[in-house]
Amino acid sequence: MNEPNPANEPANEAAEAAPAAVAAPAGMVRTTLRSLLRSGPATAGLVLVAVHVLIAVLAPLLTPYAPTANAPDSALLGPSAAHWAGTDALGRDVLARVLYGGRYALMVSFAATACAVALGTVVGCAAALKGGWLDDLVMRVLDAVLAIPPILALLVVVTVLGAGPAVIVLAVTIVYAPQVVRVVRAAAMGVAPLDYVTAARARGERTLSILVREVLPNIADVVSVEFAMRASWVVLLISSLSFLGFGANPPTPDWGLMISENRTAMTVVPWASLAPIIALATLVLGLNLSADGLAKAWGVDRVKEAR
Amino acid sequence: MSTGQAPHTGTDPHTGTDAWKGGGMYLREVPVKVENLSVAYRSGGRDITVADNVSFEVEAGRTLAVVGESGSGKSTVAGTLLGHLRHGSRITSGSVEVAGRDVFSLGGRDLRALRARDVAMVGQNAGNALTPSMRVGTQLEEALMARVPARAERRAEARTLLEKVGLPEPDRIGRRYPHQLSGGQQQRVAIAMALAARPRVLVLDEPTTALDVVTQARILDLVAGLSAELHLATVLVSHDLGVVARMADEAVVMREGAVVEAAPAADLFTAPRHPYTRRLLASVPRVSDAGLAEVGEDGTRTVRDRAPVPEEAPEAVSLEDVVVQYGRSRAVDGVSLGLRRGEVLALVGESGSGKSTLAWSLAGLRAPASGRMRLHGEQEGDLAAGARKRPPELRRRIQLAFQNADTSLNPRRIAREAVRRPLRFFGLASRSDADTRARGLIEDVALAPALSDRLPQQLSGGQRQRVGIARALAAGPDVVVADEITTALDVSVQASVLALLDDLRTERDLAFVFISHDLAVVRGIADRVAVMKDGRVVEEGPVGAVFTGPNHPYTRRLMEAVLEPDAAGGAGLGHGAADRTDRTEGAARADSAADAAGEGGGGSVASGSGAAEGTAEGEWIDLGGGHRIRRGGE
Repeated sequence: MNEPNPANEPANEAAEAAPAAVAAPAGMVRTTLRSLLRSGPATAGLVLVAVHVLIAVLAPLLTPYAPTANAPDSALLGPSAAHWAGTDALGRDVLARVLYGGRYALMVSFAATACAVALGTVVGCAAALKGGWLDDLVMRVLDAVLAIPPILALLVVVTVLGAGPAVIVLAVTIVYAPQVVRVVRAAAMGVAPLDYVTAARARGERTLSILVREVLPNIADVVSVEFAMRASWVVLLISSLSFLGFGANPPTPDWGLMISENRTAMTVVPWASLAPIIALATLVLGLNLSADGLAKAWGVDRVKEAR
Repeated sequence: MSTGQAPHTGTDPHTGTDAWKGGGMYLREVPVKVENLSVAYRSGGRDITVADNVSFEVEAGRTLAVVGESGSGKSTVAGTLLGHLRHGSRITSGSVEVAGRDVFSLGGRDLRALRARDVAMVGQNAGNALTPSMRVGTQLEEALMARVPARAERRAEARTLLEKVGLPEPDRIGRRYPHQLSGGQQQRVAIAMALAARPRVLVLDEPTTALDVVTQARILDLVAGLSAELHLATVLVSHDLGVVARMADEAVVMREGAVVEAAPAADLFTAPRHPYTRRLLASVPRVSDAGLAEVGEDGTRTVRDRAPVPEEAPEAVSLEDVVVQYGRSRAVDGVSLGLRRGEVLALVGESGSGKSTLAWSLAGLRAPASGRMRLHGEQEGDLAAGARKRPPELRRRIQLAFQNADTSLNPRRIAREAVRRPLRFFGLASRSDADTRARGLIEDVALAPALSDRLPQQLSGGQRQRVGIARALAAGPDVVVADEITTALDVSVQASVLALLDDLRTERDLAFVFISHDLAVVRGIADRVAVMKDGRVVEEGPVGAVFTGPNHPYTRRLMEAVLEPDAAGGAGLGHGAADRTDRTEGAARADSAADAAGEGGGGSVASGSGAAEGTAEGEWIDLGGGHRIRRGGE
């Protein structure tokens, strides 16, 4: 994947219609993009995710209100020209809190997903490459971890260690890595017996080197799709934690927390809980659509890989 | 089926009338008639022609071979006989008539009827054609559904079919699942299924390419017998000219979608007219060649002299009583061999004979359970340890080249990168130097330097194989283990890769362990041959001595199974026609016995052969000059 490869673009034009997915790396990015943009749902998904990221980054420019500024005199207002989505029980602008609210969710989710997928990929590849007792041991331990419901495991960890972002990232990594391991291991098992990996083994390359040079570039598609998939689950999980009061601490603007805070005033100021719900739903939807689009563009069969 | 279906009885009332309408000039109906057929697919906004104005006819009881190298469009043409086109392809001109009907004018229902009754196909890989979760007997009965409505009759008919294709104990075989059968048995079941509908046309697409020579000979005998008996019009697609010589009455040679020559098979092999046919024929290695054949542009053939390995050549590798185990079964069972610098040692044997396992062991991918394996040279080295335990210097000096060009290179790395890695890994070139060196090596294997920037997908099979060889050479080895490296290549490409190996051997004083099941290739490239069976060496000697005999019975069987493209119909080593009929009958029996023996899996085969040899364990008949034969029959 890291091979800069500018000179050979037209080389396979003469050759018979090579499948798009196996074209040159530079060409692969282009064909992937083209395939994604051609599919309506995938484009919508990418746009949704991009808009969420942009809003999170540009939040201070989009609203004049501070998300944590209390204003007791203007509490529980409906939508108006001054407050587009109204205010909550403490008089904070709902729109401002929604715009800022993506920051925590996106940052923690991204960090947690990245860690889970990275750890899962390394362990999955190692299990597939080494095989034998290591593979058996890893898989049995993972089966045990998988048997524990994620939210329960998270609640235990957070109760014991406190609810800082670092703890949540760590906990999500531990909870989700096993599922990533299973998928990546299945993909790597397909690559491990191929002759170029055998050649590297015969050369006496170290496992890490074989993994990085020979195996990873060939399962990068699976890993990317896995990342997009897991991200949407992790966003939901982290928001659930906040909703239950174990994630973000008040007065941090966070969607899960907002829904929890405002659900008692649902009949008075419905937008105070509806707005974060819409934000959360669109982000998860966007991530799911992107994952599906990527999977299609690269021909990754998620059902098969997760076997 | 056992009663034999009378030909031309007109099982379908309207086939006869259609034939009359189609071309009244024929007195007899021609089951297969392809006229000016062109097939194309669209890619990148352009039409790419796969088949170009192809015409041929096959009469009942005759076999037509469609011959060509990969990409010649031969399989596309075969598919059209069943009304099948690859996705995105379409007919641009011409027609295909099978059993009197224009295949591509038929609708879904009629087409299914045609495929159910009139035409059947056997593909290259029968294992993929059978449903894995269904007993083969049940699958066969399903194929009979259209013709035989009564269940009990169907069962009996299925049994007869299995018997007919020469499977022993049809009742037991019928209850098996496909994975419980050997490759040869699977192919037989596939043929039985094709015959179930009593078709008039049989299409065979590379029916024996995936099988080893001995099994191939049996299957071909079977097909030849059946199509004569049932009066089938057979279309055989093959790249193997030996198979064609053995089977075909007529042959059509295809190149880049077009027919370059069509002639009766006997004429084609004795007096090929088109230069391409001549070149193709000349490129096929023969067991009678005393060296590698070199083929000129016009198809002239000269046999390159083999430079003998000098007497004083130092020993490169020695094996003593090597045993390699998989679990409890012995894949390699007490092999002792030696290899000198500049020498090519060929390991020959059927699949499962342990030759590849031995190669992997040499390369350090599977440590032997016992025995001595040493690398000689300036520095002695013990090869008994796995690759990772060997010192780098030792690893560097033994390199491996692979059979499958599709998987031997990392699809995400350009050719130069693949060659560069061993240079860097073994510290043979500095960072700045490595690229130039890699480019040089790619030129050394006779590839254009521009190709060094290509990804494997952008190279042809032969080019990829050369990159694989360059990668092995990059480490600067003393010994190269080449595992079936030319098996998957077309004959002309194969010839050039073999010539390259021979050049490299003399230029670099390399020793090769050359693994192959193709005796003709071995004859050309090797200095010495070791024939392996069930993990043991049964015969070993200089290539000339082994090929002139006397031989171990197993070696003789391998040699007899070799098919050569000549007018005599491909009998190996100049056996006459009388000898062949003999063989055909004998083969059916030997076949059943061998298939039955093969059922028990590798372990029991090994122990069985051990028992057969009885007390003669480890005893050799020495014929002098290094030629020795293991005592005891098969």
